[in-house]
Amino acid sequence: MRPAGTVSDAKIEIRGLSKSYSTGHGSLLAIDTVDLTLAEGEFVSIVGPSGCGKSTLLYVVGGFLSADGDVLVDGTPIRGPGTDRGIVFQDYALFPWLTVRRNILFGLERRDVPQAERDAVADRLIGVIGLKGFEHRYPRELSGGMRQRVAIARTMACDPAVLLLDEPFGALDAQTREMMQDELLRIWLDTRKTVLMITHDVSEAVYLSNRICIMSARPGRIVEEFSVDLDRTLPREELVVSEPFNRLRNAVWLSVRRQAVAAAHADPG
Amino acid sequence: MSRHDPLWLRVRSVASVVVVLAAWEAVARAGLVPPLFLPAFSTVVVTLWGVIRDGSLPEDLAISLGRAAGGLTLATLAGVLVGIAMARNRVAHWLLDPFVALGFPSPKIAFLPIFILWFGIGSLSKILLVGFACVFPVAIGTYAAARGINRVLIWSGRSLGASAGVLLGRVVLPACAPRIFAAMRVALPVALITTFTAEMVGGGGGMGATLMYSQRFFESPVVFAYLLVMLAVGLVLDTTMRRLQARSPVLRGDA
Repeated sequence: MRPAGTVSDAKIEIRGLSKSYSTGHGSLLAIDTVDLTLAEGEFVSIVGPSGCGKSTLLYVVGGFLSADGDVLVDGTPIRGPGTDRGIVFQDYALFPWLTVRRNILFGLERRDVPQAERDAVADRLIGVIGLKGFEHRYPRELSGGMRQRVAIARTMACDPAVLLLDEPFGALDAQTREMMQDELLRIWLDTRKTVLMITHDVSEAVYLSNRICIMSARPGRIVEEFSVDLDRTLPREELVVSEPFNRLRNAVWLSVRRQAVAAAHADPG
Repeated sequence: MSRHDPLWLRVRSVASVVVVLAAWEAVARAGLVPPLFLPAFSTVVVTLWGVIRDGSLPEDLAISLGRAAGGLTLATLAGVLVGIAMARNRVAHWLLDPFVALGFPSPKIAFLPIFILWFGIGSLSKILLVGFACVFPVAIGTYAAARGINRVLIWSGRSLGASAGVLLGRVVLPACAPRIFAAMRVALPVALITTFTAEMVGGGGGMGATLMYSQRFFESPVVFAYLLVMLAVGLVLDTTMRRLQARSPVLRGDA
């Protein structure tokens, strides 16, 4: 419900979001009153020490977990998962019993789309992710990088306005990860979707995002924000050695480091 | 040929069976054991050929396999339903868990007199008893599978627009399929054992009934011929299920 009188071009508004889990010893606060607004077309990364609740935050925005506070998409509170918010998981979450093509078609088959159009979308996406010739393979027959490309294509097939990325490249080797980041950047520059990405890779966050939010150790709070204003037209090899890129990367790294150190002191072992 | 060559392993298994059969034949021929207790293997083979040719064995086998298959089918339908309901619905879990806990380790064959009383001496009581015996392993296997589904598969399905029904049919069931199939492989020998035993105790035709009948009339070669067929049926069916699983991406269940 949009409060009377507010007009905003916010795509996602997270207001006073807290999430606690009940454990054997009472309740455990995972996220503590997070406020975050993403403008239409913005790419925001959340970086923080492991166990800080950043994935939990993403799952709440995805509608998979409930929490206290509000999550609004286009000013409307979310009710569970929706095709307006596509999600890509670290471990791909492909359906192992379906081929590459059937995985990509899964979302399209759920919607009232004519067969010819579904096929066209699938063919185009298989081309975009460079997996022509692999469309009838099963996920287990693919490398990690290929699986993640299928996962991205499966999500993009539904053409969601918002992309939620849960450490999407965390399971990939360094070279594959960089290639995938470039692909994601290209897709984002083409489509200008609103992206919320969870990562623990500082360089990745700086390379891809418009804005980086640093989350504290549990209970997760957003403690610092960095705007990223880098020249996206530069090729990677020039950008990552440039002065502004490294200044920002170091600042973000120090900020995350402070949170990790604080966490280690608060919770030895 | 290497020691681990599959062909070599097969030759070795065949060889050990041949040795046992040869020993059997030798013991029987030497007259160490009366033929009533142990007819010669060659006699059993001749008898087997006879009961195949006169159509009595094929008829018994068809009756028994029909009952086992009918019962296993019922058990699979009911077991999958119960297992998934228990995994995904708390009330269903409360209601059904005590009965599954009680029924799983119980001697199902002991219910045969009751089943005969309720459903008669014919195939119906046996099919239902087989279903009763097999439903527990299938329900428990399905329950474990449904509880163990990686939550991100469910979440992916939902965020791709799957409704509750579609999620069940297109995500939950396929995700559980490998373990449901594994549970069916466990239930298959249970189905055969229950069918044969029920026929031996309750009559009404089939492999078990003829086996018991032949024993009463001291037709030991027929008893042994039927035993050999029972052994072969179990082996062939289990091997078939294993091959089926290896071939099917849905049943193999690897990520």
